[in-house]
Amino acid sequence: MWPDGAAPYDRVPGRNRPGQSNGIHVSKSPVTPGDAATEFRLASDATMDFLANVSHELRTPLTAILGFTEVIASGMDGPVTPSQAADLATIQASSRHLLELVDDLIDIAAIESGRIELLREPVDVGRIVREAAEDTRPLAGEKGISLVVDAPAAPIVASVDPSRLRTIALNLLSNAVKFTPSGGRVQVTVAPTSSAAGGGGRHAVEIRVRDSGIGIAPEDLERIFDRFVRVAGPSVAGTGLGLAIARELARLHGGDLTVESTVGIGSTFTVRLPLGEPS
Amino acid sequence: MTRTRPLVLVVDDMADTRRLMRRVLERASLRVAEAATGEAALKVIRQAPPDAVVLDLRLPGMSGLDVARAVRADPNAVVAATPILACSASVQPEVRREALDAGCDAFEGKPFDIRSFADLLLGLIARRAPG
Repeated sequence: MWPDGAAPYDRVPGRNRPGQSNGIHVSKSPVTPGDAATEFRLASDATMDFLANVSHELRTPLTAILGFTEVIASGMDGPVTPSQAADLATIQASSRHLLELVDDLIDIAAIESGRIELLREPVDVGRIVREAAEDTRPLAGEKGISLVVDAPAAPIVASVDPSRLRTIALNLLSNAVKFTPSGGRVQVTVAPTSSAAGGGGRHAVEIRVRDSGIGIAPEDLERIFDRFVRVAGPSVAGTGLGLAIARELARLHGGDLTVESTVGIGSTFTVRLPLGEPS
Repeated sequence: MTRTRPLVLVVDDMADTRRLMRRVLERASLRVAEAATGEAALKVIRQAPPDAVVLDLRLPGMSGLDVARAVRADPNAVVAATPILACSASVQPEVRREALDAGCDAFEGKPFDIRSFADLLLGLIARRAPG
């Protein structure tokens, strides 16, 4: 059906889509008890194990909630009235929000502990971005936002962790859709570039997510990357973690995430990642 | 249609999850059997090998990984070749890798996409049994 290795692993409704799992990957180095660093490591191990359990325990009931909601919404049990369909859509959106929160908290805990490990492999950045855009399309469609992907057909291969890159792309895209009013436009561009910041003209790839959203005030431009900061107020669903996670993951790859914005016009988020592993 | 509809063994300790999978798979014209433990699953697989197995990994007693390894090591070639889809709410990359290393053919995270779930299994069945 599909070639080996291309099977749709990790297919999860919501933020986690094929191949993406924002679970933790923790290095389990042998420890010798006694010193402070070891104590920290043991405590951190316990925390990560606890979070892995919390994630598992929350995902299990969410499986039944999302699954049976979809069973009813699909009409499998009989016709669904428009009002029921709207109610079911709310259950689905709320459940996915919970799922996102769980994933974000685990990502941030893994980053916080400094124990996140990148599983790098040669990856076509354009393909990952296109897939992330497809996963965001339903959300954009609900708001009547046009989502345009401009990525070259020829692969732009970078040595990155595909699941982390997917998280970066999904976080930026869902962020753009959330903060763009109905009928607006979100454009994502993938292009090779030379990395001035990396020095020596090292080659890099740039992912640019441009929206026609509400924009960000100059004084908030850096704050939006802080954890739990949500400058838009409570009317927009979100955990306030997505951008912080995206920037941390970009930096772990030796790259960065920056933003330019004009209030009332829109924002452009730019991820720049080196093609090779930083030596 | 002379061949019987494919039989899928759903192994999960959560009754709700088994019921959801049954609904989704029966809707796609698959037959479904259930097991709540790894031990029970292995017994069923050895006695009457199903066309595919959906295998939870965290099970009381024998784990899903143990079940997968036991199936792959089975002296009966038909049993050993049973397609296995690991399906777990532990979605960390290393869990997926462990599942594939233990002999599972694919990994599906929970919550799973019910729209593609049956196709995923039909794909595994088709890949194992050409024709």
